[in-house]
Amino acid sequence: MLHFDKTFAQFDQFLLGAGVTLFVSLLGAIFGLAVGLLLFFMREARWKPVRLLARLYISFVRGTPLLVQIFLVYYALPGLTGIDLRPFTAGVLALSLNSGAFAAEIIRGGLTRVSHGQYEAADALGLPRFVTWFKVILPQVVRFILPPLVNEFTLLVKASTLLSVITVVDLTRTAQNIMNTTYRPVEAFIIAAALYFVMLFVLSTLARQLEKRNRVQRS
Amino acid sequence: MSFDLAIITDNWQYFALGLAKTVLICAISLPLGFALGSLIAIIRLRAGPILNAVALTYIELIRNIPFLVQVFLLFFALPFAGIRLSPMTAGIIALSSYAAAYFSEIVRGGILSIPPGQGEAARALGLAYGQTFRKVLFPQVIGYVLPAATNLTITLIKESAALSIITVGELTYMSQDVIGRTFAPVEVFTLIALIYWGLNSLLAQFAAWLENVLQPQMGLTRAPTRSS
Repeated sequence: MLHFDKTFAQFDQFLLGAGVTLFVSLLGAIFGLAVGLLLFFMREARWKPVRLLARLYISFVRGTPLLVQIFLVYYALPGLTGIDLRPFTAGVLALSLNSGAFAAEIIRGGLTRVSHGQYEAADALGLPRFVTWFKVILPQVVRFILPPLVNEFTLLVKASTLLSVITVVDLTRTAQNIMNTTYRPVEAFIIAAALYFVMLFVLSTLARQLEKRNRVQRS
Repeated sequence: MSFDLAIITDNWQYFALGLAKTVLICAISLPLGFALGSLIAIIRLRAGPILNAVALTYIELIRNIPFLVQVFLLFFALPFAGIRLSPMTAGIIALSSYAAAYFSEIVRGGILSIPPGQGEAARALGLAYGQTFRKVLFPQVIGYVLPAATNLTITLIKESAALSIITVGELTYMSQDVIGRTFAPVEVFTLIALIYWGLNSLLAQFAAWLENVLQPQMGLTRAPTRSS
């Protein structure tokens, strides 16, 4: 039967692990957004090889498992470049490089949803380019891309579990460590699962709520 | 830094075996997940409030707990319940039940995307139930489901790499096995990344081709693809 007392005694550890999970995911999301912006501009570039490179990169990231990407960054990158990365750094790097490909698509999706008439109207009103971007276009883009970005963040939280494999002590790794001392794997993973559920359920509800608000305001 | 091709050619059997296992696992889990998902979708659409709540709870649990944690839970919990499974079987169960939750949402979306008037109109024109389903409803559902299911299938093939952690001998596991003997992570991980990439690109191409073939025959309506 289930005996939670020994596992519960280490609840602080679980919370710490959950904190690491959120922190790693947040860093991945922030740097991922930067990578995504870069890729977005590369795809719009005038020079064809640059566009091709961005397309290839996105296709590669979307076509290979994240676990393999993590291994590539953690085990293969040092062999190629001679730079040894700490697990945490390699993990954040892998998450960012992965998330960037998806963020680029989200940014593109958001920009294409702002209709051409908006630019023309701003032009007709004689607004300078700068004002057009910051007062007309970007506020709309931000509203469009916020729900999918929150969604992407939930995917990152789920993806960050794989960092446990390269010994980043996130929530999953914490559960494994505690299981090794208490010999109660089921209890450890039930608590981890519950904590993940709380975090992810809150986030996905937030994404849904944001999406709903957009729909109401648009109609 | 040199790229030693011999490491790949000397160990090709391992990679072939791993790829075969990955394909086998997906070939079993995905149809199973789709069937189970369709069942859940029908429960969500037709069944009473209690069954509906059970189905919804299942979907929310699967969608809000990371796949790796589900795999660990299953892998550790089943022996505790007195059920001994090979890693392979546990992996297939984990992937199928994970797939089912996501497929159910796609199928449900497909069915809901058809206005009820379509079925009623077909019935009013004197089509039998079977004909209504075959000639009117099914082609439209497929038009919605196919692109979304393709995305999901690619996602699931990628997720299957996580099964290597519970020692299922699929492609990622085999690659680590080879690295354990050759100490050549660059060559090996590059190779399996390319294999996964090729497999998924091929699948995407096939789905695009299938859509093209089906479109004129079944009068498919284009539906928005869900981003994964």
